[in-house]
Amino acid sequence: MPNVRTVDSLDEAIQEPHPAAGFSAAEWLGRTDDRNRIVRLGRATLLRNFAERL
Amino acid sequence: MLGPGLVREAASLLQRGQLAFDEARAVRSRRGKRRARVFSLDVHQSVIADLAVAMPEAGLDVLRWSISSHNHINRKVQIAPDPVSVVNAYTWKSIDENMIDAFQDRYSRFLQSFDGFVVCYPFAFAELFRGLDRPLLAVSATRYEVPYTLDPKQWNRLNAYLVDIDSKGELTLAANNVADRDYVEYFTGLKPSLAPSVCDYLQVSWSATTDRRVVFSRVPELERALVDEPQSTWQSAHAAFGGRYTWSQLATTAEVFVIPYNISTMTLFELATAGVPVTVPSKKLFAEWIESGIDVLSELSFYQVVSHPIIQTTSAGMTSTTGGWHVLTSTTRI
Repeated sequence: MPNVRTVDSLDEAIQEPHPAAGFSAAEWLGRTDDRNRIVRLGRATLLRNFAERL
Repeated sequence: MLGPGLVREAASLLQRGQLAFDEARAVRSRRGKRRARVFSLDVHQSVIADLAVAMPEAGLDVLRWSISSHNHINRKVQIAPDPVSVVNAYTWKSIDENMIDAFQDRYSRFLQSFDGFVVCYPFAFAELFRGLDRPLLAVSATRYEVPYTLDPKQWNRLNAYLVDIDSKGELTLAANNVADRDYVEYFTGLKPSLAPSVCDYLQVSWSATTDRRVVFSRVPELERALVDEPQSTWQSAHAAFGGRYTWSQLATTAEVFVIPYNISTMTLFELATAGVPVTVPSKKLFAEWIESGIDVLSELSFYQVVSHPIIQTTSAGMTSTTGGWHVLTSTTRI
């Protein structure tokens, strides 16, 4: 998930900003577009496979 | 002015009427004379709601009956669990072969009118459609064996049923996360495909119009440690939003810290698709907390949910216990 960062301590979460802080909302959402396209394709493929059995 | 009791009664009457209408319409419609029509009965309203978004594009009409106690999330009216006969919000955890037979007796003509069925939570509902010889789509979003966790006889029967319909080419099997894909495979031998939930039923995108940083945690001590630090700008969800919050509010949040109670939650999928920046503990941090006795990942297994003593399997693979979290987390990537 491109929107997720992991932290090794609560202190890191407090001190360090999320990478998204360096982007405008539009720029940041552009970085998550690929993931959304891929998961939509996965869902569509699953449903198409099911529909073909009906 | 109507009192709350009368409003509830009117709403209940409306929901019973809706289900009766659904039944009558389904029985009247003739298979093969229309688009493929599938039926879903589910306790978890979000997983099927996500699939339903894309069903028209796949040529599918779906009728959804939800016995979830969270119907208010996706419905404006009829927010109580649908008052289904036999298998409903009050009875489903006691499902067994007698209940399955009674459900089939009650809804025989109705069920016959569908071209296929969908189950998400729980997979045990797959057997409500046994003997109908129709394709089944099963999508696991959390440990699939509920409510049979403590009942090996019923769990084994469910596994055998899934294997049987798979061998007949009737089963389309998926999981929305890697951990549950592997969990289903470990116990059934079947190989689900991976189809992460999209959750675009929300129709929201991150707007970052506030500098609010909000923590979502069911562990009060961790929430306090994060919020009470003098330099911290984190707030509890309650402090930020009061009681219930809306997705529109959440989309304005600069960052969300999720301390998950389970290895995969629909909230994480919803946040991902909306593009909301999320922070989660690393595996190393989870390990430190668990070794310190902090109750994170408290619903990883239904053993934990029902406070059943933990029994480790001897396998290096999955367990249905807290001990399984290392395996589950090590494979989770979406």
